[in-house]
Amino acid sequence: MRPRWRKVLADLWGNMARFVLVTLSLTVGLFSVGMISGGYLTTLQDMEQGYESINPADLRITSSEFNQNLIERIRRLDGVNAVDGTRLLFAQLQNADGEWKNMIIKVIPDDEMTVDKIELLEGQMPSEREIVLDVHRDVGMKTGDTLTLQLPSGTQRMVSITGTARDQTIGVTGTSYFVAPVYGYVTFGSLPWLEQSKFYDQMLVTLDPNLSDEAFDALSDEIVDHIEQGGHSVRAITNLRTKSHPNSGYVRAVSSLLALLGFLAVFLSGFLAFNAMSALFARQIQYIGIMKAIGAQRRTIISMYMAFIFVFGMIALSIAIPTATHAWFELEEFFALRLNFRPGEFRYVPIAVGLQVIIALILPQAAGFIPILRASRISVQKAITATGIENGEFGKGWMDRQVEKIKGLARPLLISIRNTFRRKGRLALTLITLSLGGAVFIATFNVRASIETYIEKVSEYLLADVSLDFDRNYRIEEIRALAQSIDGVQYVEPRSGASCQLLNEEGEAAESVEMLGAPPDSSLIHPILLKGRWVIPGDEKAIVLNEAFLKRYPELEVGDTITLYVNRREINWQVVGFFQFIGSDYFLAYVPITYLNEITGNVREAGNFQVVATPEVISTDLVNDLAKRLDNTFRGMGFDIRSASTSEDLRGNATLGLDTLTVFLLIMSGLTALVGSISLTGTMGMNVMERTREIGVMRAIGATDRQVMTLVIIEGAIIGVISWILAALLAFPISYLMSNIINSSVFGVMGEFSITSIGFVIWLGIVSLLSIIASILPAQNAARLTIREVLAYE
Amino acid sequence: MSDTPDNSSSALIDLSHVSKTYRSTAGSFTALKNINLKFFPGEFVGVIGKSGSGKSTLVNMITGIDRPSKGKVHVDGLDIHAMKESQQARWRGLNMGVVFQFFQLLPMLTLAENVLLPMDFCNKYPPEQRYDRAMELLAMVGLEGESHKLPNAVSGGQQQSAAIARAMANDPPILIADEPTGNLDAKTADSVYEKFETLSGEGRTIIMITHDPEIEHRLSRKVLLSDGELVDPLLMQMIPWLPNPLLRQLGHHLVRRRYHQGETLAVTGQLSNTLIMIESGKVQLDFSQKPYRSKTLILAPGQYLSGKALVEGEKWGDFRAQVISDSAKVTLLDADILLNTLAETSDGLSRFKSHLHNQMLGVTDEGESGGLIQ
Amino acid sequence: MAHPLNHAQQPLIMVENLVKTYQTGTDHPFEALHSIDLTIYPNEYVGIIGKSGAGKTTLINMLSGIDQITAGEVHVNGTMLHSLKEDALAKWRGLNIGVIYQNFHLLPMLSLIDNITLAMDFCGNYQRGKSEKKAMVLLEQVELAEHAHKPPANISGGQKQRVAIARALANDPMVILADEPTGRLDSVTSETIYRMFDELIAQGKTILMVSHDRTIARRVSRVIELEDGEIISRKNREEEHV
Repeated sequence: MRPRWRKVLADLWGNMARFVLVTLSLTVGLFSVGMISGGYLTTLQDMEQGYESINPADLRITSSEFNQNLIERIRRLDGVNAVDGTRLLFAQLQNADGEWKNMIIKVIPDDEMTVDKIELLEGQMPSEREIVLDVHRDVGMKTGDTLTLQLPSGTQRMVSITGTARDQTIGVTGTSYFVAPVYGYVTFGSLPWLEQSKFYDQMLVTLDPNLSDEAFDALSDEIVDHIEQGGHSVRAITNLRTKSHPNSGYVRAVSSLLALLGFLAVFLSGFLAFNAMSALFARQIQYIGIMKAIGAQRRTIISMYMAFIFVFGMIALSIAIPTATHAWFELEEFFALRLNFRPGEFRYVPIAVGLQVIIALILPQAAGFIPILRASRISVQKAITATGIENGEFGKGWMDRQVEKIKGLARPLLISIRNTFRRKGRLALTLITLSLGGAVFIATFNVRASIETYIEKVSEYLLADVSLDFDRNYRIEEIRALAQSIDGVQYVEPRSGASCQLLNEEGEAAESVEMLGAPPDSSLIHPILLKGRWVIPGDEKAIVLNEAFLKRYPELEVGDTITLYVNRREINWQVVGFFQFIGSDYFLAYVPITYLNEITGNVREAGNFQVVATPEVISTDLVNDLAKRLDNTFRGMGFDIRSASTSEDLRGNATLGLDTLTVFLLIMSGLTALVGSISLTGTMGMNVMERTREIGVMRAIGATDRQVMTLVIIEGAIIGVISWILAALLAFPISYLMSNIINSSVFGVMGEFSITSIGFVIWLGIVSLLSIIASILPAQNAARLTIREVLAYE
Repeated sequence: MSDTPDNSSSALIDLSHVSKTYRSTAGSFTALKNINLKFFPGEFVGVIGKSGSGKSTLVNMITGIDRPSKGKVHVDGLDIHAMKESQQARWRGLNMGVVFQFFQLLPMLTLAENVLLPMDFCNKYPPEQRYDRAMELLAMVGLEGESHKLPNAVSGGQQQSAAIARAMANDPPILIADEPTGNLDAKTADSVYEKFETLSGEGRTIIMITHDPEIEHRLSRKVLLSDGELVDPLLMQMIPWLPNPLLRQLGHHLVRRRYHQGETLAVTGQLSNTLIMIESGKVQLDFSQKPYRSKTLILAPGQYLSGKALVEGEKWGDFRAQVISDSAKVTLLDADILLNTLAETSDGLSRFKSHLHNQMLGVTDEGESGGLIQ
Repeated sequence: MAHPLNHAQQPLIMVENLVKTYQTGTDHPFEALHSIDLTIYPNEYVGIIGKSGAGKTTLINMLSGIDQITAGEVHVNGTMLHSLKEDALAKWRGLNIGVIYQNFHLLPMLSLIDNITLAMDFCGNYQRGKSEKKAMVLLEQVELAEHAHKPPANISGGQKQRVAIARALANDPMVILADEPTGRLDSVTSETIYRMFDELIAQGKTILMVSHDRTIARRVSRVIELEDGEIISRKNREEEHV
């Protein structure tokens, strides 16, 4: 091997610490690129594919009772791929702690499922009087255990758990995935045992994927006709053709966030590598001088160092590729578990790997180019005879003059301040990395605050303490009387519901709308109005629509009339306002309850009651207790009660999903902050090292160890403070960006944007601590060196 | 040439049995070998010797910048190496002003701020007095107009002057300068040296390492180091042109003796084959025979005599040597050893011969900037 | 050790009106060398003496091409240094000048033998195997062959300077420029170095040695004294002893 390459090799292994630092800096960037591009390309894809594999329903048709015959007939229709019947029942189960929890029982065919299939993760599919539980909510029961069910009537059944499954359709319609209770799957044949008659009330249909939109619509009309001709009445029809996995919004949010952070990480990595390499080349200056003295030309030197950093790039690459891929798949499994989808198989993604290779070739060269160029240009004279204190770029420049103007402070403080600005390039890089890390960290708290604010606002629609949900309608007065007889109940308000459909111009059913009836003067709803107003006493056919309408029908205005098909009647409603709720594609409307009851024929009846507790019931425990007592009472009296849920339950669940995101964000911001602090330590270390001579001089003229350390620590603190200010400023746009990404992905709206002081304060504490620690170590080192070592130039 | 100081009065700086050895993977290197040296208040002493002779190391022992492997250094009675480095730094800031060869001003502070810095560290002067004092010091070195400038905006000589002002910041009794004129041109070097002379005149003790032969000549006392050992100053005075290693060798063979008034030196007997160098006091030679019959020669410190002819052509003849001062201290050196050593040089013998000759003529030898120090 | 000046030969080094000025960033630039004239013949052993700051190092940096000439002409063995740019100078220097410094300046991360072959590599003289052999020969000449594969940190100062000499000879240059070669060595080791220089002179090389030790005057064949950027005396040893 030629001697010059031997030198390059010797340099690589020569200083382990620096070698590791440079490699690590580069690896961070490559890792980020690999992880994010890989994830971006694969996870959404894996999610989609996993969803496709369960054959998700294109149409969900709710009708009056039907059985297998109808299913067969529909199956035979041209263009129909698969049909299954199903039914949802409400019950409660007793978890491992003995608590009663709400559950939904989904009825599956006795034979194979063909639509909206569940994936068995463990055990076997159930036979009669057996049950399979879904994994998304943990009740502490295992396959093989016996589960106690409580039916709405109060009857308890013991049932054997034959397996656990993943049901990706939870959250497709109706309540959100996070709020949904645990699902259990029983066969059609088990219905009598569960005190139900053997019929289905919901049909799941998949159609030929190649149908055009018109053909699709035509076919779904045909199916509806068929059903009605058979004597059944269609209550609702939901078109799910364009729907992807219910939680894809979250994955999109995460991917976008990661893309943003990944972008930042590549830059951070570049800065770090630049810093590390500058330090490296600073040391090499002496050797460059020698090499030039013995005959090396500039281009030889440049090529030697370019090769040098090429090797770094390759080493970083070899570490980054496997780690990034594994990291992403770990993450995907983490999300798969929490977001209820099937993770893909581990594989290397060519594009991601290719991207990493390209960046490995470009990044180190880019980061190293300027330091190499600068170093190669150094005159032999200067390189060989480094004796006095290095002046740096002192004296010139606007910034120096501004800094010079800072007088009147204690001189040691002055020294620190001016030293800080001495190496402006390095200072800038450190500030950038540290501030970016800080900004992301602060933004995380702000984003969380935004989400929480949003959820708070949304729960303004659920201001009651307890929500009583029945399996069928009961007389309002009856329920009210009974409820109010219970200790702790102050006030009871009825709610009605109906599934209805939005009709298009041709008078055909187009969309499913969930209609809620509430008293117009309800004090239990504080709506977030986007346009117009809420329903008021005296309104009859007034309707308030949620944001999904605005999104899908932007031309819709306050004062317009819309036609909804409710209870087999076409009713015209006047739009009085639009409100903001949660869930993007989910159509929700509020109407006056009395009018709704008239339409549905359930006059003076309701299926849901909102209960407000007396003022003494103030703690969560007391509210939970009230809910339990309500449940027991009504159940004991023979009412078919589904659940008595506290608003805490409901709200808590909503936050759960977002907790996942927040944890993820914190990890990411923690990493960026870590990168920033590595950068700070490196900078402080380099600063101190270059000024060991000065420190020696100061000690020669009388400075004690403590005085020296104070100087260095103040310098670190100054950098910390400046970076905090920058981070705080940057946090605003970054928080805004991040909030928007999450809100639009998850909630489908540009949601609330709030700022909270927590993040700022915590980061101030962290960065102060970091800068002090990052300064102490080099400062201690500097103080410990004997003056002779430091001043020795003889 | 002034007297070497009287050893009995109290020394300000006392190095006793100081040695310094550096250990490295290449073996160990002894920079200083058993140095015994005293400095007295008000002296202006030059420490000379070539690169690697140990002069910086020696001075570093005194300032505390380096620690001896063996031996002790006392400054004004204080064992400076018994202190912890931090304490030492503070002590040094108050008691010693150090001027470095490469100035070592802090580049981010103006000249005035550099001068203020030691005052800030040591708190000897109250804050309100500091600025005026700094300006005074800068005026003393002719830099009051440049006080607000950064070091890289002024010339090397001006930087060195500022460094001297800084060294004076806490009015230390001792000034240490390490090759202060090393990086300056002749004219500036001259003016810097004059500043030191002024400061010395004010009663300060100044120890200066220097290479510069021009400066060496102006120093009243010189301490010569060669390969880590002190070379006897007397030898240095008398045969300054002899290369250091040989001076060092000869130093090992010196014997000191004291005589009282009236005593006769045994130049015909025991000391016949000895070179006798007069350190202090006066010795009168009475010649009784040719070629200097009836002549008298009084030898003063720095001059030498020998019992018999040491080199060809030398003619002492018969004479008597008697101490005529209250007392006299002499240093004795075996003639054979001296001559053999001189023979190792190419022209030592002939030079020595001509020195003896000149002395006999009553002519003192001076003015040659010899190859003694570099 | 006196070598009679042989004026019949062609000069090896010719310096005419050489000026070197440094821009120091203060108001006045610093003229380190004022109009130097100098002629040096092959196989001369020249000592350049003077105080610190006199310009000795600057002068030889001009002769080796390490530093750029401000004005004037420098011819070395027919090459006009003043007309070459930095890279060309580097290459030329590697082939024609061997440099030796007070601080040795060996690359610490390479073994002794690699330090020498590196000098060959930079000048395009490297051939695997052959170059290593030649480097060993050079190390033998300076009596350090047994340490060939050690790094510089493991040998003494005097030994390092000997390696530096071997490295300086790597490309068979005509001229050796030594800047205070014994500055960091004790007297005994210095003697060894001087003896090696004597051998090099015997082999026909030309040596320019900078020192502020005036006693080198008795070793060299010619002394040039600089003060404040000018030559103030050029004594031959023989002339001195008239």
